[in-house]
Amino acid sequence: MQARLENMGLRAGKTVTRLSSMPSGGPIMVECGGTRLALGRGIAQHVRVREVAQRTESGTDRDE
Amino acid sequence: MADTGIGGDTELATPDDTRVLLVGNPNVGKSVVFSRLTGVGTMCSNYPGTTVEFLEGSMRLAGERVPVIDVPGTYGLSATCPAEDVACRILEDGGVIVNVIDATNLERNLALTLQLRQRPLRMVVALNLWDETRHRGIHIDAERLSELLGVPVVPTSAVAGVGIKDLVGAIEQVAASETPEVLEPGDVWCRLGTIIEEVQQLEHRHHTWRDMLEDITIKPVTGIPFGVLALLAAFAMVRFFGETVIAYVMEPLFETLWRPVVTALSEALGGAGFIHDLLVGSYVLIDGVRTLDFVQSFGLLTTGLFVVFGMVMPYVTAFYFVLGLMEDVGYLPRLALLLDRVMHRLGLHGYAVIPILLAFGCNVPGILATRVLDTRRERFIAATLISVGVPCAALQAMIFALLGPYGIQYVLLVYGILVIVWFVLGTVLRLTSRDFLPEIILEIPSYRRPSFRTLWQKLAMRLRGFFREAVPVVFLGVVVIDLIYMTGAFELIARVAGPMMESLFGLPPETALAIAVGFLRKDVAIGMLAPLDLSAIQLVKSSVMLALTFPCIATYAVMLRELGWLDTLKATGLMLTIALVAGVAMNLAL
Repeated sequence: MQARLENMGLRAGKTVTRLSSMPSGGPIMVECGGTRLALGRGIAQHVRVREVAQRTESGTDRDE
Repeated sequence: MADTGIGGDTELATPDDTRVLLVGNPNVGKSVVFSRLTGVGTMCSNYPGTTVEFLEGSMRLAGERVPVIDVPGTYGLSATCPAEDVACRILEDGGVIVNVIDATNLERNLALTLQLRQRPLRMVVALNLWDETRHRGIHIDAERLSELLGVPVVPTSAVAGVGIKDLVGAIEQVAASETPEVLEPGDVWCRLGTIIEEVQQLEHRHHTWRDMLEDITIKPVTGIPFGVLALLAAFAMVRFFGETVIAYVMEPLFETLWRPVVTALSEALGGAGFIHDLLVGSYVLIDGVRTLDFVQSFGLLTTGLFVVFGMVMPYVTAFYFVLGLMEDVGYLPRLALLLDRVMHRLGLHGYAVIPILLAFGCNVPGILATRVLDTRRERFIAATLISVGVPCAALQAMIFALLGPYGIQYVLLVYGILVIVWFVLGTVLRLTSRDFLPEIILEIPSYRRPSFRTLWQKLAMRLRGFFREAVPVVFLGVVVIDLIYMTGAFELIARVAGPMMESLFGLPPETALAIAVGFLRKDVAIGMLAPLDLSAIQLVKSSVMLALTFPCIATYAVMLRELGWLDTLKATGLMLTIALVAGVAMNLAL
């Protein structure tokens, strides 16, 4: 799983931006290094992030 | 999805060093490069999973024909899903690699390139979507990139055909040379960072219309209404186009050009008899006039041709055009994201919307497309839901033709009942299987301007598939019905199954035969209801029953192939049960 996300561009040390989240536990959509991904809520919860900038909805992150 | 037989289960060409392998991430235009290199029309879409089955073609390289394989899109070489596994296995059999990468997303795409470079492979990099980089303020030093990677890098814009000649030149050159030295193993991500820093510069980007569209379509507050509107608009477009073409092109053509031919033929054949009834059908009374009718006469040259060209083809064409547009623009993955939650109620994922939407055209490619789903359980649920509750364009066209005159509310009633049945069945399927449903991980590609060349190729390919599947079976259906009429078996079936139709469903005995014929072709079967003088409500009931019972024979064949005997039997059992329950419920409620 981690390898798959890494290959898709979601890696430790990259900045991720949350673009949207579907209501009632639906998937969320993030942008990371120019790639947009839809992730199930459960997977997204395993991505550890640290907030970097106070733009509307952005955070930064560290995946695992 | 190779819905029209290209690719399929054909075995790979024998391991061969001369062949050309197109390798790259999904959604980088790999299929367009493939069709440019081989000159063969292939599927090319904007959503992940299109090329789960590889396509094979050939190209001329240094005077010789060599095979070209469009390897399934993959993000890496670690085989984290079935498509990637196939990709890795194909790579192991040798060949010259053309690594197609998306220049607008260099960083992610180079991850695969670097993994490829750690293996002893001869390869060329095609820096595709090169024209897009300019619009987005991305500057890439292709020469420097080539030096750093140690392999040729060719900028291309495959949709416009730019750079393809240079690419072929580079392939020839690489094919004739030695395998380059592999990059020494090391941290891929670290090396990736250095390369990106050296070759790519980004200008400040303005907020473009694309970003605005993106925001609108993916935020739940605006995206859900947008999705509903988009689907309604698509539906309205299909209906508008279908009806217009039927009313202003097909019907006048048949009436003015074809009717005289058929009438002359009927006279020549003596106006009756076996051959006559088979070819032009039997005379029917319409408003008290004895005439040949394109819907009700049931001759090969009347009903057979008219059902295919006059009633169904316009809708199917419009449907596939609109679907192709949504695919190529890149809207479908967003729809998958928006509908993920709803689909989970049915035990499926968001991406199951893709096979399901396809099935509204024809159930056959819909069921084939269930291969993009990850687990066997999802494939079973999706295929069952499709075969039971998704009416194909042919069936819908006939429902519109028959029920439309009574008012749109009856058509909506049919759809409403199907939706209810669908959710009931989906819930049952979800609750009865306990397998773990993996969560969605889906790349959402950028919106792209569709290429009319590929849209047209795809439409032509799907229409060819429709004609191949539909025409022989429609004709067979017409012949079978004629034979049933002529041999008197019709009476027998109506007498045996009829009482059940009447007592359970409140339908006249003759509808039993229509449902039996539905196994061959749904559109022909609905045509059989036309002469029965049913009330609007009875038409609604029989349309729903026809949609719910056995899918047509072609759909059955692919279900058997995709699911195997056991699951097909299970699906059939569910289908019969739900048709029975729904039929009785409708009889009580309506």
